[in-house]
Amino acid sequence: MLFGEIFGKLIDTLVGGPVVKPFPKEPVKVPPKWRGKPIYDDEDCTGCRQCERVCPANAITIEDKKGEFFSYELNYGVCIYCWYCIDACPTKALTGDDHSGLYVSNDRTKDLIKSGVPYVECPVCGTKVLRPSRSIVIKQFGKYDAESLARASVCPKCRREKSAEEIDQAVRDYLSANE
Amino acid sequence: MTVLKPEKSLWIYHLNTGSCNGCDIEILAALTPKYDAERFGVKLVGSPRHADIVVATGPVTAVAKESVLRVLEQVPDPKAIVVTGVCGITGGVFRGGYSLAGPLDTLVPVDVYVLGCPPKPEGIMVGIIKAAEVLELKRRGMYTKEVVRVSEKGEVLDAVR
Repeated sequence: MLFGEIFGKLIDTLVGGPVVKPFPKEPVKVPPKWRGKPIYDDEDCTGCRQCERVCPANAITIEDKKGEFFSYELNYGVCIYCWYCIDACPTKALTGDDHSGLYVSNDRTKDLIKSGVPYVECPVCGTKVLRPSRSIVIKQFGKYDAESLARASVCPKCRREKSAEEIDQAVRDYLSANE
Repeated sequence: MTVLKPEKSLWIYHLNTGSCNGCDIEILAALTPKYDAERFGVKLVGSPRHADIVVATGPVTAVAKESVLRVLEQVPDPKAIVVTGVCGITGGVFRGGYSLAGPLDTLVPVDVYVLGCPPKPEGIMVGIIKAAEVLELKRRGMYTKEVVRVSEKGEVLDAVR
């Protein structure tokens, strides 16, 4: 049995060629379910901060300036590529790089994503609300344009207190004023 | 990939500054026949006095700091320092721990960073090839890149060279 194994390996080597990976000539082949860099898309982000909560290395720093900007920073120099954030993200604002494994840099101050979600005005009353996520807008209205974005960014207070006709009229006025 | 061909073979010294051994295993894997960094003339040496490139792993622990600085002083100039793994870059999961004397680039200028926890052996090979370019530029006196010293929070403290 042992002899057979050795003989089989010998034939494999003679027929199949060298075992050395021809790396610089051919690109790297990563195994299936490979976990690379997480990539952040601010249009899909809802600002729920689940990624910051689950990150075991504290690579994600979020600073929420209410009414101004929701700043998001993901530092690849700290990230351990565990993809907990991608599992936790409800709207797929974080996706993973599953085909590359070579991350080499000269300057570690540039190995990060600095992004964020702006606050937009509620078209009815004008209070600042976080810009609604693209995937939620598409789920609700079936499309992602100025009108659906304006309808989705009506603040919770207006939704509760105003009637549907009032909101509809206010959104129409807001859209025509912006055009 | 344009590679500035080094004149001599690269002798690397593997420096563990308090690593969890994950990156060390990957460096070892990069030298085994499957990946075979020895194709590029890379050889692991046992003494820092023989080395051209230092491949460092791990966040620098407070106990290891003196030894690390002493070892890096023994490496003859010109030398290139490659940091492997996120622990050596910022401290990684150990960032902010009481027993750390800061990541390596707060102590000495670092030329190449290889990201990953741990990085792939191919990534380490690319890092070594990049360091070879840096080394060749240093030998010709053409190395102009400013090496920045960075604080724990990632702010640039000052630029060396």
